[in-house]
Amino acid sequence: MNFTNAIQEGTLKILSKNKKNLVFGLEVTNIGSKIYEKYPSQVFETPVSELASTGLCVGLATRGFKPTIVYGRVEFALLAFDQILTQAGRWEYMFGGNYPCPVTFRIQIGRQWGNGPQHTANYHSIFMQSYGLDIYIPSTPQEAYFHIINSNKQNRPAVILEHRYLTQIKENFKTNRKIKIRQHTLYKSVKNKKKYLIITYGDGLIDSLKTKKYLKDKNIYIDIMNFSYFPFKNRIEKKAIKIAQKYKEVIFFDSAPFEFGILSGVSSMLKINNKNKQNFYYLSPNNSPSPSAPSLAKNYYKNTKDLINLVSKIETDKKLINRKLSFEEVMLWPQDDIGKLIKHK
Amino acid sequence: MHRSKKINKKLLLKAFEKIITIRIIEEKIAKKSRENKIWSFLHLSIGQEASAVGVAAATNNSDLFFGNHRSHAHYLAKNGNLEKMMMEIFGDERGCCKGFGGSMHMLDKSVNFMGSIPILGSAISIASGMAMGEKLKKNKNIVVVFVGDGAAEEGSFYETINMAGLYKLPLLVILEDNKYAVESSHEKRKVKNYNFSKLFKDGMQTIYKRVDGQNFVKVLKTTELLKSSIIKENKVGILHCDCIRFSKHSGATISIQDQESKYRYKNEHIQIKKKDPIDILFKYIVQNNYFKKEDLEKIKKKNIFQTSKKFEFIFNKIPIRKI
Ligand SMILES: Cc1ncc(C[n+]2csc(CCOP(=O)(O)OP(=O)(O)O)c2C)c(N)n1
Repeated sequence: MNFTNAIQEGTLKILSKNKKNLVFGLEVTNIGSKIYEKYPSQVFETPVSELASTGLCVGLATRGFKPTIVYGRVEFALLAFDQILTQAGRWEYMFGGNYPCPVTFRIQIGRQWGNGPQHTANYHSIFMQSYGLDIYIPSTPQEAYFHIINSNKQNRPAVILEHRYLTQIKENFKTNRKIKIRQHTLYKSVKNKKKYLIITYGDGLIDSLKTKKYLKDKNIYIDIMNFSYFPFKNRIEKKAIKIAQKYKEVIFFDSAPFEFGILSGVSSMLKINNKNKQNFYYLSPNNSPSPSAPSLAKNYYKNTKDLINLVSKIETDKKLINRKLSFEEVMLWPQDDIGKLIKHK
Repeated sequence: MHRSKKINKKLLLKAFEKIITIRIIEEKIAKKSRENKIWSFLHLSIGQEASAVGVAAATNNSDLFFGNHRSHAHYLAKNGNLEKMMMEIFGDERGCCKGFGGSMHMLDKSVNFMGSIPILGSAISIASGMAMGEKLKKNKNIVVVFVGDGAAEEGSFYETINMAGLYKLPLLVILEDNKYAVESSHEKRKVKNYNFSKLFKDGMQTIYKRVDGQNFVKVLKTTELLKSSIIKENKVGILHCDCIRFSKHSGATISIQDQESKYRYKNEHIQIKKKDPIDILFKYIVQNNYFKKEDLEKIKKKNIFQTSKKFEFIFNKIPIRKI
């Protein structure tokens, strides 16, 4: 199933489990909406009033319900930041505890062709600094599915940041099993040399996996550390930092501008108490919004080619790929079977 | 005017005592704050007690209340725990929010006072969610939310009135219109001839009533009416209370300088003397022969004395940090 299906399946699952699980949002009851067809009394179309409908969900969450509210773009959720950060995130704290507010904010985020500066912002790090919210950033359909299930099990507010870029990637996985949710996943090459490590999250994984596969055929082995769950108490595990500190060449690969972003935080954590000498490389867009025109947009995001060339430059001082990538390769939804890429050893 | 079945000697006495209690407690909080330099944010309800007490008297214990930055009166009117409120305000960890909230976060779930929050416009949408909760649970309760005239200018206020109407939520909005947002009057904030009634009644299809918020009996009767219409007609109710804030917007000041200040309407200081909710209710009770004037005077004195004693008793339990 693809990323979008996985989200739908996860949502269907939680709706079936408990009548107090509800879904709100714009266009969630449109023709073809499976969740509405199956659970019409649990799915609510909201007016175009992000702030009020988010507040409504916060209120419901304080009264024993578990509402999920869906935003088509992070920019739309910004109109509701009072409710997300100041109310839901701080609810339990400001009232002295014992007053949970388990609302889930499902926010679509990031790159999409033709969407320009006001529909593609990568504001992940705003949530990282907020209090009280669990943050989920799925990179695969499987993660998307289980993040929905897991966030629903917690008695806390959660933000799920869903990369629009990933909507069509595919993966086969079993939904009817229990999995322990992981904060990060290490995708290792067979020959574990602890030389190259790509650190990434969200839509960075797909290009990283393609890079790993491509370079393996050239006998260059890289590992990938992908973060996907940032619980509110311990956003990044010490364990992950310890592992990453063992690599010689560390590449931070981000579709958000690097400065003060998630990976900038990880990068500074790596430097603390680190006895090994490491080289750091940063691949991310410049600190500007994403442009709309294809000719501009394709140069904005870093991609597989940039990753491959960076590694091969470190390795051989030569670029491996000289051809320019097309707009379609960089900006259109990847349709890869990420499951196969993951299994590729 | 609607004839209330609730109004009787006992209820009036209780309300009279409640209004006095709230007044005395807040005056004492203000005084202690000044004397002891207590660094707690304060927004006093002094002068505006009748709307809180009237609405509480007209609704049931099982109806939920949700408040704003100026909610001491709302909390006490709903029978919130006084000791826990004082402790929260005076920075004691035994307070209603264990010291994490402060005066702008009142909470007593045991009496269905579901919280109060100081971000303007936030409360109404959260309360609408609580109202949806009651509806989905098939409870017959309504949710009452207190909103100032300033907060009623926030986008979320308009959004929520529409949305709550769309979802037919049992929501009663008490618009406490004391004419000012901090020190800025309506004229500075609204278009000329801004029309609440047309907007909310005709435009937004709510049940909208405007009432003298200083007058307990009028607030009570109108709230009763509104509550039954909200349930019968499946519409949102708005009770627009014209109130007078006797104190400064925030802090512990209740002064003639503030009451005569230029930001206020002309002669408001005279209105303040004429429209004290305590005096208005006193007059009503005497004129309708529930009590003799002398007896009610005695009751008032006794209540002031007892409340003061209670306040001191609680206050002495709180270790006050002197700076
Ligand atoms: C969103 C937001 N903007 C500004 C403020 C600052 N502020 C606190 S109280 C207040 C005035 C509120 O006026 P009103 O709603 O009429 O209530 P009142 O204080 O008169 O009871 C303002 C502007 C705030 N708390 N929240």
